[in-house]
Amino acid sequence: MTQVNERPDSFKRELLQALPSLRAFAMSLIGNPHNADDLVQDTIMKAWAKQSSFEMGTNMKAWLFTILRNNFYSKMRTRGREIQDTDGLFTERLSVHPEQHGALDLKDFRKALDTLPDDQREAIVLVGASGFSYEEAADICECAVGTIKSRVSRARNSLQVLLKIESESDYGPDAVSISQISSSAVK
Amino acid sequence: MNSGMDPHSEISRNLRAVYQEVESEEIPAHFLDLLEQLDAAERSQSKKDTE
Repeated sequence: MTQVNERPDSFKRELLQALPSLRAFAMSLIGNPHNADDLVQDTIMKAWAKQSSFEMGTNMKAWLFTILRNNFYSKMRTRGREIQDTDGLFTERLSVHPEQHGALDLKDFRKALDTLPDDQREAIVLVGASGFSYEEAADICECAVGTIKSRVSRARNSLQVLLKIESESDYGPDAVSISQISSSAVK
Repeated sequence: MNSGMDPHSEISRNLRAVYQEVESEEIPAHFLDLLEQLDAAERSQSKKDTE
């Protein structure tokens, strides 16, 4: 009893359009390109199987992000955390583009982002990078809008502190003590 | 009390830069293949259903 879709191609087309952003979100959750793409692949399979439950015209991107996120957390629960060694991976990825200017800043930023608790990181990524509203992010994370707002604001405060410390550690008379704070905060 | 993230702040710019680095990569071919296969499987299935 499959529902007859008026425009069978549009589901695939919209899914394709959302894929780049979906991969970037997966990467922000997992930190490892290989695992991130595994997660995206599972999400495509699940989304395809559930496509009759998707209402065309509603937000496909948010729908896919919800599936991916649920998939991620159920996997984390069964497999346990295996995303600890992100430091080496970031270095690995960065070394692919050593010529890229400003890569060091981005590396520091990634490190700082990585120290955030999962719920804060996903909130600030959804709102600050994926382009979702607080309401959409709350739907995706299945929590209240106020919760998303406070997670984003805590994430932003932590990042501000971490990044300020790191840039100040480059110079000044307190460089030693500040860099000690910085390295202990980032680890 | 600001209503959202300032899109011009350093944090916003960095967040987008990290994100767009992945977003701007080409979609891996195996995803496109997978979608084609799913699509083809469904088409042949619905053909069977109507026959």
